[in-house]
Amino acid sequence: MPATSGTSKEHEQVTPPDQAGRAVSATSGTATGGVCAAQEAARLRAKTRLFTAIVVVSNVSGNSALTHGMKLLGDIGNSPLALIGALFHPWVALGVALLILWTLTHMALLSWADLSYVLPVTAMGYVLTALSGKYLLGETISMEHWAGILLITAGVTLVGLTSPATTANQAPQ
Amino acid sequence: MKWLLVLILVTATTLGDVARARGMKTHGEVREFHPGAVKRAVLALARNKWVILSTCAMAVSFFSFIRLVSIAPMSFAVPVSAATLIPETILARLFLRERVDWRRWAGAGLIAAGVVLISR
Repeated sequence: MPATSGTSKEHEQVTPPDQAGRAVSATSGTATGGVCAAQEAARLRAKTRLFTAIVVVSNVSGNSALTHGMKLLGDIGNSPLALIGALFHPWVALGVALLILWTLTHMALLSWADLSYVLPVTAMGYVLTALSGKYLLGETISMEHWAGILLITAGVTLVGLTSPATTANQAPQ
Repeated sequence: MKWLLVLILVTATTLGDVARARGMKTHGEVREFHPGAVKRAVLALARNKWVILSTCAMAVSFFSFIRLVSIAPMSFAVPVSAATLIPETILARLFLRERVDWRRWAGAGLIAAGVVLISR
């Protein structure tokens, strides 16, 4: 446990998952009154798809820009000053900007979706990285790589079939 | 040096993701995305101890990643960062009390195997 700050907005208890395994938000009952559970689940699923897409694209492009910049800089040593100095290189700065977008959308996604859902579905980024190497850089993809892409896609599809949220959120209102 | 960085990267990312998920669940679903609402959410989250812990861990993770890609190829750095998949799924089940059904376990396993294949 880190140092406590104890504001009234913090709720520490985690409620057990609801029996149906459906997405249930603590605020939905009061805010949207008569909206049925199926509509609520569909809304959450659409929102989850959109945010997952932004998280994946910002992460892949951010890491690529960052890596490209660090390669151009070469071995800079381990000193904290050198690492901070690297942030001012244009490619590294672009990578950082994209990773800030990734951080904000990833946090928003985790505010309603499970970590054990978000983590596997955002693994689609590995496939995107491999395919962008093929289409943007003209690299060939070996049979082994195709097999890996197939396995990842199958895994992402399987996890994508589960409900994004299995624990009731502890909303502050 | 390379493997020490991998150890730091995997540990910091796991801690960062789990603490972030915990903090965001205590915050509740983010429903509005206009600038004023985002500003309010960021200010509230800046006082959330789980989010603070997560941000510190993610900073360590970020600097170990950029250090790693400067001494090792991307084809090494990216797949090793996927090593967080299994420990994070276990922590999501035990610490975050998520319902990890067989589809999520199987999916995580398939993805881990796939990442090993595309990194060779």
